[in-house]
Amino acid sequence: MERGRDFEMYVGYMEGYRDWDVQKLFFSDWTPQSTHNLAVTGGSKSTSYNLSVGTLGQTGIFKPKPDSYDRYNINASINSDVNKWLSIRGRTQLTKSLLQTPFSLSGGTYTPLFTLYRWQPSYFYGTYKGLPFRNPVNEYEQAKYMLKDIWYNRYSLGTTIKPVKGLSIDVDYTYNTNFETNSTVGGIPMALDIYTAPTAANVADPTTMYKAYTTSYDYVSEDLGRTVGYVLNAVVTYETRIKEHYLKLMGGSNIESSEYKYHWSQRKGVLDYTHPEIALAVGDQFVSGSHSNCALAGFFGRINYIFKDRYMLELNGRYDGTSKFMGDNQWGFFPSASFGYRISEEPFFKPLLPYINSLKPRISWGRIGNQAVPSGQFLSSIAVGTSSWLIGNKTTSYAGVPSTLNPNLTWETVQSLDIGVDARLLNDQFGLVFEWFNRKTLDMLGAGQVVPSSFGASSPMVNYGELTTKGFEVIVDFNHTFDNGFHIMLSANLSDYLTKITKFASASDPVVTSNYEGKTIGEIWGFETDRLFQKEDFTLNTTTNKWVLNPGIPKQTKLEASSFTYAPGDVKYKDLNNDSTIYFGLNTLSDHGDLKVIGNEQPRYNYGFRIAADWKGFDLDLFIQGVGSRKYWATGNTTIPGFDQAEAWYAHQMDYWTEDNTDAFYPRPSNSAQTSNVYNFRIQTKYLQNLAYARLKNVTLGYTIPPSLTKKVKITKLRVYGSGENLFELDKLGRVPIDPEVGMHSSADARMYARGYPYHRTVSFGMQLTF
Amino acid sequence: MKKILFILSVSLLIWTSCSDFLDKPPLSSLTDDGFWVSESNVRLYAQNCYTDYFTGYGSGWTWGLHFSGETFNDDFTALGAWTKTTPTTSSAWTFSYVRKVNILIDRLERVQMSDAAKNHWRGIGRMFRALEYSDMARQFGDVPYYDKPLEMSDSAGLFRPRDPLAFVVTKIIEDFDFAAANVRLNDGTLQVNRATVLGLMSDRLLYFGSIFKYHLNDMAMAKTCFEKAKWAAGEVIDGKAGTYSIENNYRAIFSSKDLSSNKEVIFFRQYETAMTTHCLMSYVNREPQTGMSKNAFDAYLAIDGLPIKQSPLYNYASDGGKRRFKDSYKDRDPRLNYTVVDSLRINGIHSAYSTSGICLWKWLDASADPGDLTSLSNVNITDAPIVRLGEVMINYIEAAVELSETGGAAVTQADFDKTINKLRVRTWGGKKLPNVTLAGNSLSVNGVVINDPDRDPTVSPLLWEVRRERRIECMMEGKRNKDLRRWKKFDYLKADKTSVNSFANPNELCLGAWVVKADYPAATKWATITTKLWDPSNPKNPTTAYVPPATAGYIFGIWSITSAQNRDWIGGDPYYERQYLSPVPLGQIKLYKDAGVTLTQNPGWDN
Repeated sequence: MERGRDFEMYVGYMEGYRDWDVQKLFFSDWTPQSTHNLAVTGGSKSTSYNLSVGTLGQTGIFKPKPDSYDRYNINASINSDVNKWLSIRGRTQLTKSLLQTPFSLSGGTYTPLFTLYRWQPSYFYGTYKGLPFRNPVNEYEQAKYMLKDIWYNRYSLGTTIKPVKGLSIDVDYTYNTNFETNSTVGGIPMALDIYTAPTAANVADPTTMYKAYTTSYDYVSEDLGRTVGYVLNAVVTYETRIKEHYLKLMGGSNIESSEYKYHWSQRKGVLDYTHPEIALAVGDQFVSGSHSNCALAGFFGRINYIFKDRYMLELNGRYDGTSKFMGDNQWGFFPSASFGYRISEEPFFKPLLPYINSLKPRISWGRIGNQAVPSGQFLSSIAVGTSSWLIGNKTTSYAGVPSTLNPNLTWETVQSLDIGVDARLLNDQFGLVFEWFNRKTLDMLGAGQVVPSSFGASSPMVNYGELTTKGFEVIVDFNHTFDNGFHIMLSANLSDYLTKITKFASASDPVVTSNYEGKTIGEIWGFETDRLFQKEDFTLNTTTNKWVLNPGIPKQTKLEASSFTYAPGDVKYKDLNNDSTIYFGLNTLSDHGDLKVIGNEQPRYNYGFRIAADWKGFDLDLFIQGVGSRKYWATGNTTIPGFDQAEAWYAHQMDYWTEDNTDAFYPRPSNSAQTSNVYNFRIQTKYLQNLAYARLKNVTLGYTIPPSLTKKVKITKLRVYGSGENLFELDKLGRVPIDPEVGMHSSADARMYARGYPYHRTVSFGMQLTF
Repeated sequence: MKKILFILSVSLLIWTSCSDFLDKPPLSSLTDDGFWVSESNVRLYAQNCYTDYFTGYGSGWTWGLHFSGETFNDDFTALGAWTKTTPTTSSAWTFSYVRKVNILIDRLERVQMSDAAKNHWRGIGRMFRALEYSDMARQFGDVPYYDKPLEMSDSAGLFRPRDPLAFVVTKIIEDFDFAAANVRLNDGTLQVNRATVLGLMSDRLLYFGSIFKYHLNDMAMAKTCFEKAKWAAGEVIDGKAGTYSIENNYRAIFSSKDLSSNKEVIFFRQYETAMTTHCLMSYVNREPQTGMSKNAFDAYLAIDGLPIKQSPLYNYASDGGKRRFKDSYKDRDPRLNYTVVDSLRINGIHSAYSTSGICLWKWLDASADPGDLTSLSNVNITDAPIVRLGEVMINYIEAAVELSETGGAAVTQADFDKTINKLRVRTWGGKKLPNVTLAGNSLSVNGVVINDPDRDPTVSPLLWEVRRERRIECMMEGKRNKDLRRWKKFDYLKADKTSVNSFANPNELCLGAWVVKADYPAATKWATITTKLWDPSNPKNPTTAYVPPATAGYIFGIWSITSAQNRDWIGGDPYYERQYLSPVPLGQIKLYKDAGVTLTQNPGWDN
């Protein structure tokens, strides 16, 4: 960059004048990706085998330091019938993946990607006399790679024994190991450090700003997490058919055990960053580790009974045990039953058969257990950590506060009732599946009763509370082959559910954002936006120089702060409770002032639509997926102008209120001081994000060379195809240029919303060969 | 038959392996049942409390109490905000630290130790509890008092109403007394020792003594607290808990990379690269900073020991205070020179400026290269004093004077000789302050009775000078706001003489150094740079635009009109008066109410 033209500097501050195409500096428009798969299957009469290898290679879109992902897998399986009553099988599977991402030299939270979206395009992305300015692009250029290497191995051995007719015994043992290693190499970045205000010496010669601006990441660290486990399944099945009665009995057990061990070490003072090894670092060293294990055991039985191929009954029982709980609470019994009725098999149905080819109403009820809690909840544990209190310039260790415990913790039960119908109509051309369900989560594992702060800890986890989820799913399809060979398949599905908390240990007047009995999961409480305040709403007090609301207009003083008072151009909320004051009261169910539920952030009305067709070797497949309704209150500068006033104000936020633009979309520029839900951007209807969308997930067009041609070169099938993923979407985000699926908030910093890895579109071409 | 045997053996294998298969105790965490077995484990637990109470300069980007850790006082030319609304939730109203220390006190009884060792740890636990309840009571006044960890089933405990402050402070005194008698004189490097306990005890009980005297008019409790504070500080000063003496280089106490050999420092927090670092020094190094107010700058005595408006040496009347910085900087209390940079730093002229022009270097390591990486960002490694003799002396003399004004033992010359006169060994340019002599209800130096024309008439001349000494000795160490709170002197925070929030007539809190424009010929941009000047002889009209004075003026550190209300104070107005105590969060009041118990609110706040 040329001084005076592209930038200028003064004692204490600098100014950039040159606009950069940041997107172009940082992201590649296209990156390659490849997949290869090869499979061989074969065998003899009594033995069969399957061998396959596959590779996947992807390169990411970071231009200064491309990230990459590679995966390899190898599978081998064999199955052999030793004799009439004994067969054996074995299988090994290896998957290895390697993810390379550039190290963030600005910390784990504020990665270059985050910083990139933060600043205006006139930021210092260039160089001065060959030396780079400190900026996210340059920071990635200097970064080393972090390598995440995952090895997954699975070995299975199994046998099936059939001692007498109808009786079968299956025993399978699987041993699996997962090794995940991470190699992290930091660095000492050098640049013209514009983060420190220029001094007179810097102004005289900007190259004096060139320095190593942080040594915090001068380290190399390695970690290894190892999971080893096994699963043993043994099942005895007896099957018989006596005339119109079919009976299947099954009983067995299932055992699982796994152990996790983790080790991390780091050493500072890397001697040479071209050889970033722990053995070649000389500074302080740090280690940590963890170790855990868990086990599951279960016994189960099942009875299937079918009468006349029409009445189908299934009864199930499971008795499951887990190491997550203590004593008798380790075990739980979970029964289930289902009944189906193939009514179309009845003689009286015959006249209808030409129209309705098959019809099956069904009903099922069942319970399953959930033990998804962290281990050791039944013991009062004490964590050991590293204190920032130094002694003799060394860190010290400390023991933490014993956790609160609940020795009576046990399984959570999920009970479902499903009612459905399957039908095929008009020569099997039309299909219909409809299902309605009511799922109840009983003895919910969750936070205990609300206790006053005087307890000094959060109350321990308990089995209390109930969630009720009601929903439905419909799938329809249509299949037809025309006389000319044109085949078409259409299918569509729609599903929706809504979850409510039907029992909960809530306070008698709970805060609306907390969990409480009667709450609909995902509900968003907010104000209703009225409009923007205009000058006519106020009178200027010339003594204090403050805007005072005219009489008759509901006051918003309670939402003000010392640094923010409402003035013309600010957001006017609706006074829903008619008390002439806009406020949220106690923010509780009985006193929530002017708040109301303004939407739900759960994805509602999920739908999909698919068309597949083929004709004379050509095939087309098109899949659209979408969400019918979803609201989200997003914070961060992308959606809230001035969330952090120091950051860039985006092009889509330029329609803001001024005295000459009183009909603006956004209010007058104000500073939310990085706080969510304040001032002009309290959670409200107008600036609520609508995340509904319809996305063209996949479109594939292929052509199979006529086998008559390829057979000559001993190729059974040769197909070439092109496909695109996520090529196009419709959304309702309006002016905010983000993807509806970019992800929700990071708890680390609200400003990170929509500042993550961008959404991909993928176009691929391929060839399928079968010999 | 063979087949059946095989099947049987398989299923037997599965069944037998199940008996204790599901018992998996945690592998990498300890349990409360097994942990309390040795003194070293008790120490490990106690270690977790250190950073709760001994924050020092904070860590990383988080401030400790020093400098910007507390800017809402009359030392800074800074804005500040009174709490406007009663919150529903508050992280300050938490008893998790109470629980933490009560668990320590409760569980250490399970450990086999000698009586002496046990008493030491009981003392450590009870000192932490006293510190925790001091923090709670400082903010909220009355608080529910717990002396053991609560059980979930103990609903009477969970919904315990607030105990009166007198009860809570009596418990705090009992805990401190026990700790002061039983904590080891030396428990190893950077472990709490008896002198630390005594120093902290004098600070906390001086606080509550003032609260009982000035807020609650409970002279009996006030007297008890002042006596205890004076006793605890006296033990340290008299060398009963180790030998400490005043360090001549005042600045070295706050800006050294190693305080272990500093003779004044009783307890400190250590900082080291890549382990624990802070950002305090960076803010007085190459960063713009919130500056010292004219009010604080003028509080420093002239080197003849007299307030500047009384000192013939300073001769305030000659120019009404409108003098260049270098002339007001010389011949002052040496602590001014150790605290404040020797030249002006003005916004627009200097990059590391101060909002008042008056810059601080109290925490800047004079020996460090200011461009050294550990002098920048959040990786500073200067050690932070937690308890030092100078501060203990100040606690002593204030307690002694308060005690004598509360019907207790009379303050004597000996009390001054072992405190203030000890602090006056510090020199700057070979000069030091003269010793003070008790002269009835005043102090005198070299035969001249100190009579500050700026003295608050409700404060005795003696106490006024003792409070000045405290302000100067502990300048910007995070004490001033608490001091004003306990003295019931929040009206000192008012930043405008006319109180119409216009800043038409700012007092010394808004102003900084006197600047003569002609001294800065290079800076021709006076009209455009952000530093504004104000000349009292040419007051600003709040309704018209700002017009800078033609030739000279005070740097106008706070001039924003919209934010002015932050620094107002109206005596007797409940909005302001309620600020002496924090509001109890409404959500907690509601929880109690649901249980049929009343949790009272502090006066003036919503219920």
